[in-house]
Amino acid sequence: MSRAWEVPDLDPKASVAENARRVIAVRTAEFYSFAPLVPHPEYEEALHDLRIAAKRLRYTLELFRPQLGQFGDRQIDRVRAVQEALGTLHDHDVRIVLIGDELTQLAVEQSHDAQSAIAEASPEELPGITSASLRPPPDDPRRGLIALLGREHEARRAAYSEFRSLWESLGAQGFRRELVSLSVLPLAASS
Amino acid sequence: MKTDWESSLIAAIDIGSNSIKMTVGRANASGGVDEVDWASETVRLGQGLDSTGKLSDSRMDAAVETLNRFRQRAEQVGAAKIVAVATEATRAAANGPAFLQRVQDEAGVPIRVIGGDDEAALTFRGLGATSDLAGSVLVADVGGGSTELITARDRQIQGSTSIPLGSGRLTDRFIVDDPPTESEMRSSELAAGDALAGPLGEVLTERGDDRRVIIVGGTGEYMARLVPDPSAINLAAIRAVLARLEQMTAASLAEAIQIPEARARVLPAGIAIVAAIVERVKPAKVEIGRSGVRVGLLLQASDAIQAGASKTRIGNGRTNGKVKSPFDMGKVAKQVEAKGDEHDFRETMSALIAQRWEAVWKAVPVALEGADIEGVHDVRVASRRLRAAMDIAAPAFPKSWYRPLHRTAKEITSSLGEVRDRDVLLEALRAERESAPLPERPGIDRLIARVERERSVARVELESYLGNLMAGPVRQEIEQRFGQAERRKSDRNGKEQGKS
Repeated sequence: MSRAWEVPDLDPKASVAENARRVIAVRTAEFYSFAPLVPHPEYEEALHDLRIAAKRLRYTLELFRPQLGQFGDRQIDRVRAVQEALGTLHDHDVRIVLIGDELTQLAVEQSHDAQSAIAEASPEELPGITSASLRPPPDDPRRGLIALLGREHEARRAAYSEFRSLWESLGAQGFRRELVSLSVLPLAASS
Repeated sequence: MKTDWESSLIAAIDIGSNSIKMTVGRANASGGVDEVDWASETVRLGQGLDSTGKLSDSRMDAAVETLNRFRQRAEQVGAAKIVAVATEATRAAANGPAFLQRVQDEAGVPIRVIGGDDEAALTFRGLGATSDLAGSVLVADVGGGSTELITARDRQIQGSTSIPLGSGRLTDRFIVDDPPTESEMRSSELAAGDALAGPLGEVLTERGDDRRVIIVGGTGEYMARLVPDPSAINLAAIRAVLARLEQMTAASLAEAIQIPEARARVLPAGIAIVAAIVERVKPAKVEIGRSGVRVGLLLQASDAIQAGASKTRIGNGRTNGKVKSPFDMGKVAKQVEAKGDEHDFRETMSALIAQRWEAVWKAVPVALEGADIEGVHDVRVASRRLRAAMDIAAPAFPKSWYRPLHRTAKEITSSLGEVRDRDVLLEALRAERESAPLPERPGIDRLIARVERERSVARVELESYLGNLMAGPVRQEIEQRFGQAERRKSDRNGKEQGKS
């Protein structure tokens, strides 16, 4: 997980609005520093980091809600939508890794079981063991794990596609510009 | 149509030998710049320049791509103007003009190549926006291809010089191994010392027992992340950093201070240049400058726009330089008008932090009880909200007691992570099981059993941590440190409501 960017130049003696502007500028830039990675669905970790950056930005905006008004609320809703879309994507990534790991573990266990059975089997029992290992029983857990893995990959592709559409649609609506305006405007009144 | 505030946004780009950097912002009334966006990419445009005399095709391609991205980004954030300057690599390369033409044609960014004097003037102006330049100072802008030295007294430049000595050049010449060897580092520092001796003598024309050295640029910024105390940098501390860098690969250095690996690769040579400067100048103090060429450039461009605008905007309704915004200005103005002891940053943040700790304490019992999985989630979200407030407010409070409380807030979030992750997994797996065909259920059951086992272990740790937290002294300390501000805020709100 990437560390939060530090906010330079915070001034304890300055007004809340002035410091809010500085913090929001940093959190917005941190959030958009991941933008070049958005077209790459294979960068799971980077997309997860983008989600964390979205959370940091959202909680920061919520903190200064009284200063940001309804215009700020609109941006918070948009950041939350990005965060949630990436959350769904991340949940699929976690499950894909878990299922893959469980399949590996199961293969190891089944291999050990087969080796033990073969080592202890009489010559008459060997053909039965061989045919059983080549034709898994109906309750073999692999069946469910493989089917689930397939569904997870499919759902992940759909989740990425939804996230990408959302990202592009927000871009077309001028989301970034409006976020940046949050970091410019409180100062407009303090001069 | 652009609003007034957008019209004042300028993107300033500095194309150096190591990095291309952009700052988007606008000049403010106090002579500084309000930055709204920035970007940096390590392109190493000057790589190999000393051996070939030319910019390589691959580096030019990378620079054009980067500038294209920066232009799009500047446009996205609403910059009304883009100004770009190129320094040593472009000015020294035989194919520099061809590169400039390519950037103009392919990225649509016009670039001005500036000489050493212009670079020094822009650096000094930019530095003045964030640093006190009173007294005697030597400013050293350590770049990838050149180092600019500026001497000044009481904010007036006395002399400046540009030396073709930079971190990228020195790396190309002396550093082969990764990590750099002791011998490579020593050679770099000696070569830097030799290159600096004459120019330093030229610019340091007067005694300066009280002289400060201010290091500008990425080298200084990243070096500050490696010293124990950035406010107390001296030659011994810089040498300790150099010794440490002999043990670190570029990859591990990049990870440790969060910079690109290509930038980490040239950092040891940059710090060797700083060491050579400090050894020769023997300053009273070494400081790190937080702004330079780009801020200077932005201020210069803003002056030009203002000069043009003052001729055409007379009588257009703008007053006092204030700008209009699509904001909830009523609330903003109220906040600003409310400046003073009762509403200052520290006081407001104290009250917010108190509220957010209270939200954590309220959610913990449900999480400990464990009947509703949302209990753990609620504590986690409350702790993240708390951290957002504590991250921001840190400079306003004494580190001695604030840091441990800040750390506790982080521990709360992470202590719940393992359980929360498994709660989410179990919810999804159980839903899958419900709709899955019967032959698939044994596999899903196996997964569910595994996650349940892991959750049980994590749950024991969570209960132990939260139990100790609730029974320990933290809650009382929070009340003592932040509670009064929260009560004052409540009283104030009560009075304001009474008035209305």
